[in-house]
Amino acid sequence: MRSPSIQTGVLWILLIALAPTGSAQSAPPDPNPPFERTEVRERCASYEPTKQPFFGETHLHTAYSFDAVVLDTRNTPADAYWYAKGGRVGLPPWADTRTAEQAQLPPPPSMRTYVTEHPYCMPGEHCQFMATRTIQFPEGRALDFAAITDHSEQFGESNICTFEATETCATDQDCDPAVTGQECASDNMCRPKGYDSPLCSIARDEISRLRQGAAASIFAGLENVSQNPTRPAFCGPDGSLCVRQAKLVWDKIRDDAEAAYDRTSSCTFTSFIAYEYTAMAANGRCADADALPCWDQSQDNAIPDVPDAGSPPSADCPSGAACINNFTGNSGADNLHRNVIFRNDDVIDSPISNVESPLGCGFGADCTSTPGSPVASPAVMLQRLKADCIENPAKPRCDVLAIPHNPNMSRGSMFILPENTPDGLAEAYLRNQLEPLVELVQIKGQSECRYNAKTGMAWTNPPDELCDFENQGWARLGGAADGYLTDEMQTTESIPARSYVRNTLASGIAYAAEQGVNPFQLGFVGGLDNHNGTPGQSEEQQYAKSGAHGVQSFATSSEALNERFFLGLETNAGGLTVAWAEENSRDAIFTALKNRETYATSGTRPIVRVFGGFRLPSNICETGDFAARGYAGGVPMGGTLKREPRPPRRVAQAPSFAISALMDPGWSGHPGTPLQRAQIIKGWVDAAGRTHEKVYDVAGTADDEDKVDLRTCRPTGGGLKNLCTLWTDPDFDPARHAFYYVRVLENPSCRWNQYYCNSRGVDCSKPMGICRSQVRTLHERGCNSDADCGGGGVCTLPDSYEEFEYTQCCSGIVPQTVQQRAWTSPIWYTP
Amino acid sequence: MIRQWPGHLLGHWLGRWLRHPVLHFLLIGTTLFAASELWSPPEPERPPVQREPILISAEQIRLMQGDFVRHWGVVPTSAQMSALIAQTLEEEMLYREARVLALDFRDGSVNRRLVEKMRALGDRPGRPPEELAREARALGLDEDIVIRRLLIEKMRILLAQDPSAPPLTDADLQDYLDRHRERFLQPAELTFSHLFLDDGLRGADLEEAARATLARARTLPSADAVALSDPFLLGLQFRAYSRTRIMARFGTAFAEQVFALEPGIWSDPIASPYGLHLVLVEEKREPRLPELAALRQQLVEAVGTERAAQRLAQGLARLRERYAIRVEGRDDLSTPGVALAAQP
Repeated sequence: MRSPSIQTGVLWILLIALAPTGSAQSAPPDPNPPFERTEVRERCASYEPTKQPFFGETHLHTAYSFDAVVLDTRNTPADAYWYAKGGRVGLPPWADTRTAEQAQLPPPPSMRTYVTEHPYCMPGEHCQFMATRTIQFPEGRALDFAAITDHSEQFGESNICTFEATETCATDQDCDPAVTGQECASDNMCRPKGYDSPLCSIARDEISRLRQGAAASIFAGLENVSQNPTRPAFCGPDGSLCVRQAKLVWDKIRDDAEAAYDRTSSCTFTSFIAYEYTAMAANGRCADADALPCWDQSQDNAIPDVPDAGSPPSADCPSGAACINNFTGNSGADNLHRNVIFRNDDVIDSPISNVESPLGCGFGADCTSTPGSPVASPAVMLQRLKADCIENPAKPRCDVLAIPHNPNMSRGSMFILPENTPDGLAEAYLRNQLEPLVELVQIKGQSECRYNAKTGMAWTNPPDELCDFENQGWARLGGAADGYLTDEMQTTESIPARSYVRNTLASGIAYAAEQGVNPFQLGFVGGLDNHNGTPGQSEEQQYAKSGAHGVQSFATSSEALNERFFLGLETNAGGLTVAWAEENSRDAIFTALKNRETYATSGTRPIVRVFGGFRLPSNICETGDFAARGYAGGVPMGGTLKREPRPPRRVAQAPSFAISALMDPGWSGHPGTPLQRAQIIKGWVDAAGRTHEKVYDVAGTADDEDKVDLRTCRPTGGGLKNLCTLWTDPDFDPARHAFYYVRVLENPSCRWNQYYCNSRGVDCSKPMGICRSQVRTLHERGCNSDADCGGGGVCTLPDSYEEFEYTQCCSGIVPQTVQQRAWTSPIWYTP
Repeated sequence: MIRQWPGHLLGHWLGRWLRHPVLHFLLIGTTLFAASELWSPPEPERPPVQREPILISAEQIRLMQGDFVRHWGVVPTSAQMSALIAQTLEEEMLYREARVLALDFRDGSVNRRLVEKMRALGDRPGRPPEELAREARALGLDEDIVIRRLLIEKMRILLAQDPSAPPLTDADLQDYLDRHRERFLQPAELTFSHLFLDDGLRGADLEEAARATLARARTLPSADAVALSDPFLLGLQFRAYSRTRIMARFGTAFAEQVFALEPGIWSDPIASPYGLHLVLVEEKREPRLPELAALRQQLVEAVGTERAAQRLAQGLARLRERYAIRVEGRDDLSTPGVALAAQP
């Protein structure tokens, strides 16, 4: 064998020539950055050619989402940006603190408002809606960027039903109906037409009673379904009343984003114009375990999840079984939502929501008669987005991407391979181009890997016990699941592999091996899906206080700690997105998202950097310029490695992966949790087209005992403040497609419910209460029931908690700690 | 061809015309018009506006005080009391001027209020709203808290407006920017290098190593000194970092210490969650104002709001000159008023 030293030497010379010299040299901002500049703004003083991490939000709701405003959320996108930048905002419940005289007066006339503003005041002030709780980031924890993604289907409906009037009127003409779409309502205030409709009245009635359900569900049942979505009657026969109101809301969203964006050279904050596309497919499920979701043509099953007697076999179900309705007994619960984010202020005139472009069965496919084509294809919607934005000559700067979220609740519908439809390849290209990312984690659970619903354990092959992390049952969104991970209906068979990203990455490369394009080349982001209007609020202790869903979550302990409540125990504080970009501007961050140079965290803020390549120097961890050498010798997270041309008779070289991480530094008075270990998860396709996966520990240890004090929730030592390692794939086959992503785990820390239980003084090492008893020996003795206190004795609880809280906190079913983590976008290898 | 009037015919023609009644009418009309133009007598139909002095009685002041105590649970300070009185005076002036200008005339909101009040009185089924409103005025029902509030707001809006104001220029915007530096100031930024001493690598020798590294670093050019650093993920130089960004990456204590450093010299060891750092501040950029273009939209809104506030203040000042004000027991708040009662 020839000495490799010559080759290495040549590489070194190349590297030194390529690498920027002396990192201490102050390089001027690059006049030709590697991203296209599409907007007018000052250059960022902090431009960094080798990129820096920016923490942000890609999924958040405000009072402009119908299901948030009916939860009494009053924060608008403007408030959400204020919070993201470090400001203080209010949360429900609200108190009417007006004086008697103030309450008697009409609202002060203001400039005419087209879009409802939901004003409130802070504690101690006098107004109709005074916040009783407030929330603010600790100093240094504000976000770098945020996309506010309200449900686009109900922009107009929400504005109509929840409009808070400030203009008095005598006739409709006083309300300038041609511009505002408003009329003079029965109380002589200007309001949008439809405000007095029964459906709107129900919705407002719910707000006043602090409960949610009927109205939001009625809207969803009309507008978010896959089959013939329609607008409610009050929108007019053609829906135009609501469409016009939606346009007003969209314009306001654009204005709010502009006002929040820092176009100065300080580059302190970036906002993105965005919305959520909220499709809830009404697919059925075959009695066969592994079959695709099926088209239940009649949608008439009387009993959820049980085939009707004598129901005919479905063409969609391979074994000729019936297509049975889903678990809830009503359709429309497959979560096929996408967050649509625009690059700059050149955006489409109105959002393309599920009403305008519902999901279908792929290009040219007839949903009702094509076997194996459940209503889950975004092809038509993505094509329209592309036509109206990217390829629209009237919008030369428009660019856009869509991020699917919660595949874990899609019941296997989110990532169906486009292999059965007439023009599946076109769909694959569209998904590859417009859906470069997936939201891997959010308040309603992680979607990384499959788990066993019966045991809560990982259900991967080989087993990956770390998948037992923030799992939320797939039936939970429909509101019909039973106990914590022990739901009868959530059998292992009923959790399809397609619901999880690791399996999807594998099926994506298997498709790419056959077809040459990967429909699921998905980088990772994390989001909240918070409905409080507080982007990036992913901190556990704060979540234990404020929840994420307006007045509904955590209004009472019976909801917060309730495992059957879909916003209860199974939820978590939500994730964050980190983008590696040269500067904090829309162009730079959007380019990072598009290139998948991103990672998701489960809510904490470790910093993780990964490069993969065939020419990474072996001492990359020992020299100071990790990033420069990484870019020179490989590709960053989200990139693709191409097969190396190699001289004949040489053994193929395996790719190496350089991983460097810093622990979350925490903030004043709240230290971050040290890192435990880094892992590489590899997936590959074998010669027969079968997919495989393997998890490698590449740095740190698996020791997780006693790393946190459960009473104070502070770290108790051990772990790594930083780590760096270079790992080479020991099982590399240059002929096979593969992907590699990194998972960096922190030491265990308190889950939010532990903060919740601590704040109520629950101590599970002691009995629940203390006896009040005539019998001296029993008096003041610890007890869990009256029986423990003898005849006539009473087991009394301290004032700070109730019996339900003690039993839930100490049940042992719910984990008291979690291992927060980061997942970096995969690096793909294509032969 | 020029047609000439023969002399005898001209005399005949003139005589005929001088006797013609049309000429008489014309002459009388012209004379009357000229007279009206020249003499311009005072308009007899429009009575002079009488602006009665505004009196705040001791009894009213006591009521205000009582309300304040009920709402806030404490007795108002004298400054608070003055502010309350000033507000009451202002609202009274605005209300009276709105009535002078008849802002309630054909106001839908006011009319509705009047109609509502009449309907509340009952006994008038099927009567048209206009008639009800007229009768309400006749009954004095337009002295009403809601109408009062509406008219005060309307008057405020009127005073704040100036439809003939010229469009804003860049100079206007720049002037505003200069006067509101604090609000638009970009944060101070540091460009600094650091030599990192990794807690994990150095262990117990950390402090010792830091001292030794510092001693060597101070003898070397900064470009060479960076070779003394342990590797650090985010690199060894940070360009234009604000205090909050440093805080986000290295913690609060680190940020405070680095911002207090003198530029140009390697610092003593500073602790972060990751280990110790020797920091060399290369450039400190003081807070600065951004370019106009980056703020245009915000500035246009801000200047518009400011101008409206100025016009309102000037309008209120003009109003104050028109009224004699007497506040019982508070001569400092009373003004004689210019003798303007007769001025329209």
